[in-house]
Amino acid sequence: MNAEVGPLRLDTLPKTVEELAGQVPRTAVQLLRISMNPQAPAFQVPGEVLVLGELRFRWRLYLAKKGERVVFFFFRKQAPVRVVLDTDITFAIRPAPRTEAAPPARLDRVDFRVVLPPFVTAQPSERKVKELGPPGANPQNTVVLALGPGTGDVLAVKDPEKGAHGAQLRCTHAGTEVILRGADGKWRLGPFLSFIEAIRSWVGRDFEDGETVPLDLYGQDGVSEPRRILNLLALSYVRACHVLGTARLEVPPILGSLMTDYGVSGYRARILLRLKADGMLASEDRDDPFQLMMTARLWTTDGRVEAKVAVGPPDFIVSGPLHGAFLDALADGDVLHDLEEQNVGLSQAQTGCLLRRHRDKASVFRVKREQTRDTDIVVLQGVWEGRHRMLVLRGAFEVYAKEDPPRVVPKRGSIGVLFHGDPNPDSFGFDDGFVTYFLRLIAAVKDWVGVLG
Amino acid sequence: MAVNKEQALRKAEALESAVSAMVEYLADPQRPGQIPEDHRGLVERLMAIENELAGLSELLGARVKESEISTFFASIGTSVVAAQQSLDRESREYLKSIGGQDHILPTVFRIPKVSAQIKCGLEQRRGKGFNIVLFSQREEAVTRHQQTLHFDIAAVPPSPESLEKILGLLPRVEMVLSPGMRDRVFGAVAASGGYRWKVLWDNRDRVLVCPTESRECYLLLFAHPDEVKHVGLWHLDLQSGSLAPVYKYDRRPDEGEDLEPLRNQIFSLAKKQSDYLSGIR
Repeated sequence: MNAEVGPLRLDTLPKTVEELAGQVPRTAVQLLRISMNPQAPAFQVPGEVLVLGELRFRWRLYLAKKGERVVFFFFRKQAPVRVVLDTDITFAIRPAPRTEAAPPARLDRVDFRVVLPPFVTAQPSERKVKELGPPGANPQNTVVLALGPGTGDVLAVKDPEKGAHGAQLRCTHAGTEVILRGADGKWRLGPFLSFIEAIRSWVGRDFEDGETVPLDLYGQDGVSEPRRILNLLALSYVRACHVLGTARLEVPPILGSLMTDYGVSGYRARILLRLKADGMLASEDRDDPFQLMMTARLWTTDGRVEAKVAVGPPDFIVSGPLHGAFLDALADGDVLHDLEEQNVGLSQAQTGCLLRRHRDKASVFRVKREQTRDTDIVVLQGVWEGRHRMLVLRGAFEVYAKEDPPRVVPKRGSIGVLFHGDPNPDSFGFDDGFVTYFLRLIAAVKDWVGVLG
Repeated sequence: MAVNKEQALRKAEALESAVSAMVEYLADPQRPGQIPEDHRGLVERLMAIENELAGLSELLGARVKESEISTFFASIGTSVVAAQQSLDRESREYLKSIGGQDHILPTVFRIPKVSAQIKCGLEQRRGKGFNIVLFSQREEAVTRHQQTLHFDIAAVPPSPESLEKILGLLPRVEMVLSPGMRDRVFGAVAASGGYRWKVLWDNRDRVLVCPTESRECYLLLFAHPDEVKHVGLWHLDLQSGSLAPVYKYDRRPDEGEDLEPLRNQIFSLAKKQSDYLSGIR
């Protein structure tokens, strides 16, 4: 009998993937042996042979922190401690011409490129950051966001990881600075509405698609855990390609002449990162983790391994079954009644109408995650009673995202109105709690921008 | 105390997990401190216990199947071959059954490809390869069948390159059938004036001509149907032009020797060769 895999140290992942890939040529030989019909009275050239056409893996891994180390395992119930990352690795091993199945020329070098969110200004110059950013801004501590050609808003955020009180923001609209915060401490609507639209557009299309910039994964001091994971996932691909490209099995010559070469294709890893403000993995809810979806695709061109890495905000949803479940949960009679009771001028009929008629334009994003309950913000916009209105709600929800269909249960009495009224971009109305989500998203993106050469 | 099977399974798995954790801790090269020399055997004993406990889990029915990936696919391959053999038998019966019914087109049944997708668990022999594990109990299956494996096994003809390589590897007797080459060989036979050259010349189409490894020398075989002793084997060297007997054409077999099967075999091949050569002239 055998011992189950895991938890294994993460740095054993490349070897583990290599071993799995190494089984494929052995399997191919087994099938050929069967094809040769050894029971036949005389040798016959087989009219047909059995070939392993394609083997497609979808490999589910769980990553956890165990002391200072990151470990992985195959079953969630094996987790020695709290799971911090869900990871999917998908790849196929299929017959490939010898040229394509050739092993990578170098095992220790992958050319990474990263897809930036379209609203992030890639590698801005020192001069530009100084011109657009708040005092003390430089390319290392500041992210410059172009929030859409339609609005002309440019938002420069210095030290976003310090949150609503510590971060410094400067916004220009068509080249003119605009006041971001009112006397009552509320934030100006315009830049954040532009930001919401920019994120909606980003997540609405494939966030793995877009302009790429080189990512220097090797030249970093004190490499962060997500980057280390990325490197190990890349190395896993390289080792799998290498073992297939160099497989030389001891087989009789006749079987050898029938052997097919195999190569790795469609290698894609998808990792749901839960990060602390410093970019390291969060292992506890009290770390108040921010989730980032990281994807990595790898392929080989002329012996050179290339990788495209993208990040997206998985907690910002604009469509799909879970999005629908949130809006259905808010349309519940009890929730509508509670909102009416808050005396902000919302009748049950108005809110119900807004939820029904403008659900496609709604944005839902998680701002806090706890064991069984999330805090989410829902932004609804639309025209009703002849006027353009916006309703921003915040509440606690139990979310059963893995059920089919997903289910969302609002906590009775927790749903509050953050904003209700005319979404005039020049008015002030968002509080720090609302802005914090965006700052955390910017901080996570800045962490990625920070690794660029 | 009565312990039901479910509870026993849970206990076995909990023990297995605990022992696994101990093995992992002790075997971890990054663990601070060294295991005392006289305790080295402890890890191996724990690994043996771990294996026994995994076996107990299997006996208790959680796992229904566990096999190395290559063995797993080989068993599928064997099943495909067996299924095709069964279809071949059925095809034969079917063709027999439709004999004489011209309105029914004869057909045979083939399995060109098997595609499947399985949800399974993965296990690893410590320090060795992977196993695919299928669990039977519902809860186990739900929590552990988290890996997805899709595969195709296809029956395909070998590529022309592969066939060429195989044919190059097979032991076989080559015969000269090209009329031009044969004319050159028999020209040399006539010019040599060697041993019984006229027998070969007179029966040119019925002489088997086999090149040797050097390609400049040939073995020539001829068998006449009239008498058993008329079986001969010659050696022809094109470079020197010499023709010499290897086995004399009219040599009477020794006591206990029987040339009959050889003569019949040569005669039969020679007949086919003669028909072939007549056909291409």
